[in-house]
Amino acid sequence: MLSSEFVFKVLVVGPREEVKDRFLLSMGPDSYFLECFKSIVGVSLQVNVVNVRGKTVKVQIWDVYDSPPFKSMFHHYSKGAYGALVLLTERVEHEAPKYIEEIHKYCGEIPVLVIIVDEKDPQEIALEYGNSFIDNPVKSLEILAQRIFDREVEPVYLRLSYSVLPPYSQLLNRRRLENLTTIPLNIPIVKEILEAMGFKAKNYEIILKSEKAIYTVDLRNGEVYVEPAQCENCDRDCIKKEKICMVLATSGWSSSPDISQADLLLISKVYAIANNEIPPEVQEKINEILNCPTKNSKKPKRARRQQNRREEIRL
Amino acid sequence: MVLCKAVAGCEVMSKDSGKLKMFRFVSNGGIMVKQLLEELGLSEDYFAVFVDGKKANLDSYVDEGNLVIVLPRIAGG
Repeated sequence: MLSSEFVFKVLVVGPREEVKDRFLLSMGPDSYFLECFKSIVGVSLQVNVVNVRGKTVKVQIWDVYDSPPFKSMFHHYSKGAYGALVLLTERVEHEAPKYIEEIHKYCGEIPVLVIIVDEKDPQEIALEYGNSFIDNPVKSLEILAQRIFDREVEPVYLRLSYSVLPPYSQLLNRRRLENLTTIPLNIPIVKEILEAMGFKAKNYEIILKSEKAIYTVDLRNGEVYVEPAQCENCDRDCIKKEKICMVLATSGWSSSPDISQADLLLISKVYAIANNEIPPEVQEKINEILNCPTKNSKKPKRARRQQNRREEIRL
Repeated sequence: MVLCKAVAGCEVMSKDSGKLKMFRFVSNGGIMVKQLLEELGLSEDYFAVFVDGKKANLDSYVDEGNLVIVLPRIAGG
């Protein structure tokens, strides 16, 4: 049990689950997960301890799903929140006012930090944004806790580089661990059913390819990742694979007591992807991911960077 | 007509009453998927039905010993 002088409940919202996951994972070894029920009830909890002005503050982070079935439950999860973090990428930073408004509507006037995760290098962001740049996600908790103490409710915008977030592989390992301990899947039976349905699993993964996307369904944790098909032969160093969220909208049923709702959800995901019956709101997110940000640029990003470096050396 | 009989083993949360119901297929000739869905209260809220790994239609028959799965609808974003 952690001893602390203060306990603050803080909400984390944002449209990209993968960004939120990586951000929260980067909170370091001092953080620990309480529960991970995002795919069932729409929220997972994490606790971090920060020191603010010599005071020990336990920050209880409520990571809330940003998907339609859970929108209606947002007001329940937001009750009693002292502050909020809005995590956005460069592409959707214009949506910040919408999130701030929603938070203020349900939580009252509480301090909000908008963190825009930028694909630029930390040095570039530091030069461009100065004091609005943070190089460590834990700092955002410290800043937020300070603002809660000071009751400063004016929203603050901060920039963070993608490169400081933990690598994708680390995220997968952590997620696997969480999900295996909280939402157990009956992997052998699920694998058997999927194989009977014609889906072959390799290394506990099912890969489904469409014209525009490659989907990876991980049978160990039920998660689905999408990668644009055009990225397969691309050497740009941008983020290619992203997690997409699909949750239960209704209950399923099985004649076998060994098959849980989590198992049925996983089978539904595979079936929906393979048969192009992905829910419209999920498809919308996928289309966003499939939209290459550098599509219209004349030169590949990496090539441009290398050229810039060469020019610097010449100078 | 009694299509399903309460026995221990298979559990399902009845959508209408919220109480637990136990189901087992008892009629000799099996029952239609459509009737099963009605019994389960899932007629409107299912995604797809599979019997022993094969996609079933509403008029397909299921019998004792078949592995039936009614896939839930999904949402997200």
